[in-house]
Amino acid sequence: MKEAIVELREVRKSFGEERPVEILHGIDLRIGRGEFVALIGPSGSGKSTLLNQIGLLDRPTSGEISLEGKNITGLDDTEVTRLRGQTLGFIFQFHHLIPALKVAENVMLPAAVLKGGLDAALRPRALELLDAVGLKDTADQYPRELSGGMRQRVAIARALMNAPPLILADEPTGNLDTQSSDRVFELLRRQHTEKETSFLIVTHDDSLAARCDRVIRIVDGSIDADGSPSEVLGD
Amino acid sequence: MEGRTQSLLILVGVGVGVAAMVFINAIMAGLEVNLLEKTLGAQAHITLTAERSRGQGIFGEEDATYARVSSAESNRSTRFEGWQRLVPRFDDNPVFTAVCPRLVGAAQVRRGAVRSGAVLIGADAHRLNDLTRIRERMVAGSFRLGSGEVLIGDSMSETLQARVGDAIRIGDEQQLVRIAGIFDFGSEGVDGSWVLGSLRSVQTLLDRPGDISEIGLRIDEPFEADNVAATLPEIPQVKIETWTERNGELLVALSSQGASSLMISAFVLLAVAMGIASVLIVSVVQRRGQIGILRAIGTPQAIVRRVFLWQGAMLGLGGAMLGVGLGTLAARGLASVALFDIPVTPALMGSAAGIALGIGLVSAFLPARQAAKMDPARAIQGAG
Repeated sequence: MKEAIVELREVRKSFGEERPVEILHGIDLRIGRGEFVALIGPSGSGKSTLLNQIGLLDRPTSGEISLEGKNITGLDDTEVTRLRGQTLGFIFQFHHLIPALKVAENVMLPAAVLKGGLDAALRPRALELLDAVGLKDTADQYPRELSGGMRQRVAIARALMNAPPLILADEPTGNLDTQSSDRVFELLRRQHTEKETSFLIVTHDDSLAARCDRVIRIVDGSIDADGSPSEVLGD
Repeated sequence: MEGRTQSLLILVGVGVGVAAMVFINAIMAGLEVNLLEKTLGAQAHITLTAERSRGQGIFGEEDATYARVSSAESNRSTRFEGWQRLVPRFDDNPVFTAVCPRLVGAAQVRRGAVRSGAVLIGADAHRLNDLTRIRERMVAGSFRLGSGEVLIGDSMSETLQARVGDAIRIGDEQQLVRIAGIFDFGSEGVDGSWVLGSLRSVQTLLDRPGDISEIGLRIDEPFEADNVAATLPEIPQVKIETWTERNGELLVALSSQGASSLMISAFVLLAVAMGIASVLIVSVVQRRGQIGILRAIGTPQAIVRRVFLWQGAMLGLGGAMLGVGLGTLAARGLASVALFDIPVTPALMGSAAGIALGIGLVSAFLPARQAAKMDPARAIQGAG
């Protein structure tokens, strides 16, 4: 069994104070280092909520989360923020690039946050990543000058900047046409193959999930199925 | 682009607010200086006046010869005895920039058939100039107080239809004197009634040889007059009065003017603060996706907070620079048509800039806090 990059034990999440509604019902989950996992389920099933717990963007109501073997329960916001910057990469359905920064500067941003400023020494790495996503020529352009698919590829390069061991992607191809969607998926796959980066991809798209190594299906806040694409999705 | 337009608009808004503040404060300062100049231009800051005698010396029983005031039956015969010894004491005190013993009395002036009541003042020319800067106020003739010569104000010259070189008659004896010069203090009370002569000639005109009625003192900072007066020793039969006691209404007017100026500035600054805060709050909402992603990639709350505080400070500072420029231009524009100077001092510019910067930071505090506390997960999802 591969070493766990992230492990959830009995994680529950409720929203609301007067009449709390539980969204996640005691999730137990383990993702090994280098795994390429799809998280699927109907709308409102709790996929994004689960992703936010794993990504340390939100705190569970109860239960424990370990990231690279470190239990994050009880860490304060500063420690969680630092851990998130060092260990995780994020790709969202919307790119959320900073419009005032050039493309290369957007890519450099996660490293700049860790180093405390945009440093010219970070540029070669940013250009290397932009090259990998086929956008090296756009380094000195602003995000508004790029198409939607190109912006999403910049967001992928940004997520890879700190070479995080785990990348969480929430509907990364949700806003893209088929061609752009395929290209983005191939980029993720290549990063996984070449760098052994772990991926957890939330998607509505069964065909995309079928191209992952493992598929987890969540229904009504509980894991309904967990296995190979053929086991979960059928043939 | 929308964000830039918003920032530009609020920058202009802050600039207009600061300009209003600079302009109003400059006008108020100009008005205050003008009013004080008109009021104080011819006045002593502290005046020592001989009162009716009870037969006591100025510095007490031991020093009774210094300024014995005779128990005359009328004001006219109230003597300021010992003043010749008192004056050098004030001359030696560096606090006083002018010391002027004067004899003041009421008199009738006449030229031909035209008569006018007058305040006849006799003093040494040099000391009188130190006290009143009258040389700068001369509008005709020359500043000299020779024997048989007087200076009158421009209003009185109009009343008497008299010009420099003309002769007028003064007092019960109808003594003939010649007008050596005409002054203009810009105050009807002074320009319409004062007739200035040498101390000796006025003593003769009022039949009070060797006597004065008061000693006028001037200091560097007029508003310190009460404090300085309080340090003077009590002098029997001598009343010590400051210009503030003589001009209570003016001080009330100045104080009301200052309070109005403060209120207007406060309201303008409040509007500026609310403008900056509202723009930043909208900016936080508009940029929640960016804030979310910054937090997701490990940006600490303190950095996010700093970004918005910095933005507020920049809006304040940028608006201050614009406002100081606009306010200065407006003040100079008005000064060119107004009858008094409207000073935009470096201190006013500096304080306006400082206040605007402070307002920018304070206004940004809540939006900055809101941005820093934003839940990254909900920020990202809400912004999609």
